[in-house]
Order: sequence, then structure tokens, then C-alpha cells
Amino acid sequence: MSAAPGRESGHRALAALDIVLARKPERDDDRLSEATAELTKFRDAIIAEQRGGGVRSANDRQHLAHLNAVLSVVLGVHFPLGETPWDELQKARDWLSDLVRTS
Amino acid sequence: MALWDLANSDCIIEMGSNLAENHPVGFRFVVEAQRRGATVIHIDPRYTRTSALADIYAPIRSGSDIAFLGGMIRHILENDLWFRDFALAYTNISHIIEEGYGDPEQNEGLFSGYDPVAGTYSQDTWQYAGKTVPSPVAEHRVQSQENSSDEGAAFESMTKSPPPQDPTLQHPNCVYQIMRRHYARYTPEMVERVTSCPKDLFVRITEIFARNSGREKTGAFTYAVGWTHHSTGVQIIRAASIIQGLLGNIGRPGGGIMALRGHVSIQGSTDIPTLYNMLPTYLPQPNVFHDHATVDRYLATETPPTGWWSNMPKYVISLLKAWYGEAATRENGWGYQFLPKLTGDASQEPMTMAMSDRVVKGQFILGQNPAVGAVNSELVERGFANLEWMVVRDFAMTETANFWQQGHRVRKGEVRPEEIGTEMFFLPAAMPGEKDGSVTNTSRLVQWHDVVCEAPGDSRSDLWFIVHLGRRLKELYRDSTEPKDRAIQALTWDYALRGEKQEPDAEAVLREINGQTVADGKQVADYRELKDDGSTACGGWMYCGIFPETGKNLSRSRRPDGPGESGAHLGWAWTWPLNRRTLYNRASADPAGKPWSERKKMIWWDEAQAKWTGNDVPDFLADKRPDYRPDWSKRPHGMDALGGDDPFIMEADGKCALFVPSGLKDGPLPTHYEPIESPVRNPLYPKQQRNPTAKLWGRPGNELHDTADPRFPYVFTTFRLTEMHCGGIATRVMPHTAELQPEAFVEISPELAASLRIRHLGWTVISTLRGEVEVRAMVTERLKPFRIDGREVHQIGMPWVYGWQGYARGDVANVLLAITGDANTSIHSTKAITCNIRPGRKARPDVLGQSEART
Repeated sequence: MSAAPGRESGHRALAALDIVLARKPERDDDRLSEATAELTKFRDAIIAEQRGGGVRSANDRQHLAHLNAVLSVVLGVHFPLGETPWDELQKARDWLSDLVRTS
Repeated sequence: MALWDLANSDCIIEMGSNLAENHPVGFRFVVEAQRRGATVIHIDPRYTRTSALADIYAPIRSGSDIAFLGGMIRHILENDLWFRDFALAYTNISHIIEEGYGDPEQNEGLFSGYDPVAGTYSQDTWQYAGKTVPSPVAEHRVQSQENSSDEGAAFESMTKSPPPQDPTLQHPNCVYQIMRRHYARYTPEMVERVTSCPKDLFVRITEIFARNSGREKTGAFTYAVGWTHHSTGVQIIRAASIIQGLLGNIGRPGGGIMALRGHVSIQGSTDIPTLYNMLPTYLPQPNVFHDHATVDRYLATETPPTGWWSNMPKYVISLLKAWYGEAATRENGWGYQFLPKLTGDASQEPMTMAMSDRVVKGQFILGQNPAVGAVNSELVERGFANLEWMVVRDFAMTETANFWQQGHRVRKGEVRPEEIGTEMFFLPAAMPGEKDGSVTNTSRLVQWHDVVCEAPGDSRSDLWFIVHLGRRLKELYRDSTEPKDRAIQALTWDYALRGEKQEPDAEAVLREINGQTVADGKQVADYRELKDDGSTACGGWMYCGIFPETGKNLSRSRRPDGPGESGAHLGWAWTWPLNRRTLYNRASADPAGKPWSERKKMIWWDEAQAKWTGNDVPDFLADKRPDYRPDWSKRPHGMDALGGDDPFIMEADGKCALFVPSGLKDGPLPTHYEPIESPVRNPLYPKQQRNPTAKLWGRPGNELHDTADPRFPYVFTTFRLTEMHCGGIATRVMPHTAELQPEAFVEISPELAASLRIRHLGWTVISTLRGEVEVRAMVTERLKPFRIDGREVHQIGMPWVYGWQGYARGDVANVLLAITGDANTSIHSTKAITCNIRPGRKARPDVLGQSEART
């Protein structure tokens, strides 16, 4: 498929998450906010394209589901319930990396 | 305890509440207690009508409650004022704690197990020696993975033997000795230094309360958000529960801690929750990061093996059957995967920030006015402005519904209405008298009300809105093949609709909550009939029995006790669970099952009938003998692991927890920390200024003040008014209530007013780093300067119930507040922040030319 809309935002979110992970276990609120904002832009761009008739396959829809999952994990680190899920953030970061690379 | 049971108290301490003004209906029971000879004490920063009607008033600085209550605990322990027979038998005062336990007294204000980077505690060293204690399943249990690494195996330690105890109380790590060391420095002198309450007055109050407790007498606390809205809110209430456990004031007539709720059905909205982190009636919401991948693993992890909560699987599976009906099968784990799983804190505060960050795209707002009622109002408005759509349902225009037109940022000229892209839907809502339904109030009392008159025009009940929204969603997703849409497809949503407006049958909802047997649809009469095999369906196990058979809605019952009856009023409406008015009422009898005294009897063991009986529904197995003891050789589970003299059946060991080994995020004992913003250093722990686990979220627009910041030298608190209901809109739009409190104001002491040249009814500007408001000054002796740690500290107070809508208007106090959270509940701090105040008006004009306040 062609380059996903908002992919640049995905790259910026990835960079922010790399900084967050490098600084763990200290929680970097500013970088987490930045990652959230960029992921949201990435997500909104995909939604806009899908609403405009850009969905060509179940795989495209899956991209959005995966991106939403990444966003949920980032929020879970930013606003944790008890223990911060660092391992899951690493997984989410890798998932995002795949999304950005393959989209 | 029942609200009316306050009349049976011999002493009532009202603290963190202004009962006379904010709960005037319930206050009559305090008046009745006083008429019968009780001593009524009000402890509060402001002198209010509650103070005026009390026998004793004690002023304390906002946010210093734990210093006061900790001082009471110390005084009770050191002077042997506690009810020894009660506390030794029914609390964990003699339990021995792990050797590695470290107290803030040894560790500069921190308990053992603190991780300074994460800002969280490990609870390993807080356990009973050799045990891993599950916390009672409750509202916020799910926030930590207490035991998920071993699927609950460690909790099995509770089935091997009773927790180690030393009834002589000499063991250095028994709870009694730990508490004595922990509170040793909370002397009357220290109480005065931290709270400003004169030490002699403090001692007098403590001794009066202790004297009015014991076999023959009982005392009660009443509290409201004056306790909860702090970064230590949960621990303030805990401190009161320690006092009540020590004095034997739990589970007995006139004894208890009365949580005064903000409006009529807030209790109900916790039971059948609008909260994000629990399922109905206090079952934990599954968490994707915990060992909750399947229903079996979720239940294995979360179910305590001992005590009443061992029944949790019956309640969870019956709930899933109620929600998903035939789509919930043993094969698919009873539809467990239809439930959303938590990933983090989704309470109001993080969601406000998520709105600002455009994560959240739309919001429904029903029965709430967050533009006025939520902290950091301007940040809230920024969040609203980043939504794609917002639906507000109310019976009058609210500030939330027209933030885009007249909000703070619009009036400051920061943004124009046409630049806000949020699509607004404002829908008219029916008022209480225009709909059927129930309210669950302070005392867990569920009362039904019938529609009185038809709602006008397009106004509809909230039930109508939710039911029809659900029907449309189900229709929308009917043909979807996406797995994620299965939850909506599976949901049972077959409420009968009536009349031209297609109003749902509210009693059908209550019947669903009550529960039924799946095979024949027969109503279940008692939660002990619920099963974990899919044969019963129940929407909220604690409400089971409210609708025990067709046509019998017990919340409709209105039969009060007459003269000569017990006064429990068991025929007035219905109280969960099982119409029981006083929880843990087994404690009203001594270990042998006899009432502690004739005067204070409630339930007792009837040997002839071999069952518990009395004036209330027993909160115990009806036929469990007082002399029953667990047979530890058989590894007892459930209620078999609790003795016949263990009244606190929701706890894993049946004891009242003076010391909490599991479940609290900020320590096993209440400890005084200063509020997140304070003008003074912590006199008790100079190296630990504030609660180390408090939730703080730094971001532009939500900056916090440093301790003793000279720019913000005053303590600021917010409060409600008798004449204004909650967020105010319901009463601000009514001329007859609006004229009673026509505009916002700030209460300020004559001393502070004189020093700042502020005159009575003159304009003032109050400011924080979050924003500023202007209101007229109410210069009043109801406020006095405090003397804290040797220096004068001034406090001011402002009602938070005003906005720019209605006849009675005024600046929104919550503009001044920051978004922060208690570690346990995420509740914000509204009662003790710092601020500045000056005479005059705001420098920046209102571009709409319509100041919130009347000029």
C-alpha cells in the first residue's frame, strides 16, 4: 500500500517513545504528551482517509486497531494504575515501529 | 449505619462536613441525638451553622485532619481509653507484622517499600508475618497487581493458620506497638502546632469522645468531601476508622462513620457505577496488564480465598449472564472477553488531559456540569474545545453546554466561538418528578419514586436516552462481522417500552439488577442463591433481594417503625445488602454473642433457636455459632476460615483493620503530610513535605505552587451553600433560590481584610498559577487566622457553585485549582491549596462585556 497518512507523526511518536524508554523508570511527562499528540495525529489521519473511502482491506482497518492499542498503552504509562507497564510500552513501541515501517 | 441511627449516638464529631447547611435533612438526626443528651462537636476551618449548633467548635487548618485524628489515636492509646474487650477481639491490634516493616518515624516520613523513582510502594513488608493478605475486593483494588504473578497462590497462606498474634501486645511488631511508635509524636502540642487547634481543646474533645464510647455508649463521625478532597483523603477516613475500631464504635447502634454524599443518588452511582474502574457492586474491572487474560485467570487472581469475598465468582458470572444472556456460555468464558479491559487511570482528571491532547473525540455529559464542578476549569474548557462532538443533557442551559459561546477563554479574548470546532448537542432532560426510578442515598437506602407529571416537549429521562442510544447502536452494528463489535451485539437490551414516548420500564432495570434464575426467569430473593455455573443472572449482587418476586419492589416500601418498635425502620424502603441497616453488626454483640449492653443491643445469638437474631438483619451467617473456630488442619476456605467471633466478614481474616497490610497505595497507617500546596513546611516530617504517592501531572496550565511560595501565601478552600445544589445550575436558574444567594463571594477574616485593605462587599481578585477570579469580599469572623508552627497563616474560602448561567452568577472557583489526585482514588484536592488575594478587579476586561458577577 502507499505511505499511510500521518506517517511522519508516527515517526515523531516513535522518537518520543524512544526517549521515554531510555529514561525509564523515570516518567517523562512531556515526552509522553508529545507521543500521545503525535499518535493522535497519526490516528486521525488514518481515520480521515478511511472515511474518505480509503479503506482497501481488512489489513488497513487492522492498522487503525493496532495504532489504537499503542495509544492505549502510552496512556497507561502516562496515567498508570499502580505499577507502570514498561515492558508493554517496549512492545507497543516495537509495534508502532512496524506500523510506521510497513505503512 | 443508617442516617437515622445518628440519633442513637452519645457523641457526634462532625469533621470534613458542614452537615447543617449541606445535609439539612440528615442533620435532624444530629439534633435529635443532641436532644437526647449527646455531645455534638464540629471541627472545621470555617465557623458555620453546623458550628453554631454544636456544643463544641474546634478550628483547624484545612488539610491538617490527620494530625488531629492521629493525635486522638495517640491520646486514646497512651491513656488507655480504648475499648479493650472490643478491640482485642475484633480488630487486628494484636497481629504481628513482618520483621522488615519500616515506619515513617524511622525513615524520614516514608514507609518501607517505597520506590522513589516510580513514586509507589511495595506492600511486601506491611503483611502479617508469614502471610500474604488479599485486600477486600473494593472500588480501587484493581489498581495494583497484588498477587497476579502467582494466580492468587500466595493468598492461600490465609487458609493455613490464623495470622500470628500476641494478645499480650508486647511483641515489638504487633500492631499495637507499631501504632504507639507511629503516633508517639502526635502529642497535643504537636496537634496545636500543625492544626492550630488549642491543645487543651483538642484533649477535651478526645476525652469526651472516648468517654462516650464503650459498652454503654457509642459515638459517630460524620464527614463529606472536606475529608475526601485531599491528596490524603482516603487516609483521613482511615484515621477515623482506627479511632472507631479502638473505641468499639463500628457495627453498633449509634456508632460508625457516616459518609455524607453530595447529592441524593451519588451512593447509587458508585454501587451501579459510572466509575471507570469497577463493575457493578464493587467487582474489579479487568486490567489488560494484570493476569486477567481469561475469566478463569481473572477470578483466580482476584478472588480472596477466605472471607465473604470468596463468593466473588458467583457474582461475576451472574453479572455476565445478566449482561450477555444466551451469548454468555461456559465455552466462551461467560462472555468475559466482551468486557473492556483497563490499561491505565481513566478517571476524570486524566481524561481531561486526554481531551486536551485530542485523544478523546467525543463526550456525553449527563447530570454533571464540569465547566463549573471540575478542577482547573480553563483546562477543562480547552479539552472541550478539542472534542469533535459533545452531548449535554440537562433541563436548563449549563456552562458546560455553552462553554464555546461564553466560556472563560472566549471572554478573555483568547479564542472566538467560531474557532471552536466542537459540534454541540444540547438535549433537554426530564427532571426528577418527571420520571420513574430509584435513588440510593448515604445509608445505602434505595428509595423508589414514581413519575409525577409528564416532562414537557422533547424532554426525556436519562433512562430513555441511554436505552434508545443502546438500541440504535445495536441496530448500527447488527450486521457487523468485526470481532470488536460482538460486545454490542451480545448485550441483552430488551427493556420494555411504554406509551407514545416509548419510555423504558424502569422497574425492568431494577429487576435485572436484582437477578433471576436463567431457566425460568424467576426473581432471586437473596444473593446467597447466586451461582457460578451460569444458572443465575444478576446485574448487581448487593442489590439482590430488592425485587424478590414479581410485583414486589421493596424500594417502594414506606412503613416507618412506630413507638415501641426498634427504630431500625426495616420497613422503610430497602437497604443493600439484604435490607441490612448496619454493616458488620455482629460486632454489636460480644464474642460470646451477647449484646455489649442492654442499651446498645442490636443483634445477638439466640441459643434456643441456634441463630442470630435482633433488631437488624444480621451481617453474619445466620446459624454460625459464636464459638465456631476454623479447623486449620482442613485448610478452610470462604467463611469456614472465619471464626464465630470474626464480625468483619469482608476482610480476609474477619478483623477490623487498624493496620492495613494490602490495598492502600500510600501506607498501612495514616500519616500527616502537608497538602500538595501549603504555606508551611511539614512540622512532623521536614524531609517529606507531601504524600509521596500523590498523583501529579505536570503540564502547561496545570502548574503547582512550591511550598511556602511567597506569591501565594494564603490557604484557599471551597465549599457549598444550602441554597445552591451541587454544580448550582438547578438552583441558579430558579428565582426563589437564586435570590437567596445572588452572587459569588469569598469569605475572609477581618484580620486579613484589614492587612490587605479589603473592605466588606468590596471587589477582590484571587489568583493562582492556574487562573484568577474576581468576587466580592464577605469579611466575617467565621474565619480566624491560624497559628501554624509559630507563624500566622490566613485561610480564605469561596463557594464553588457559581458560573455565568442563571440568575445567581459569579466566577467559577475551580478556575483556581490544579488537577492532582489522591493515590488511591485519583480524587482531586479542592479543600486546601494556596493562593493570593488582593483588592480590586481583574486587569483584563471581559470581551463579551458580561462579567460573571452582577455589578
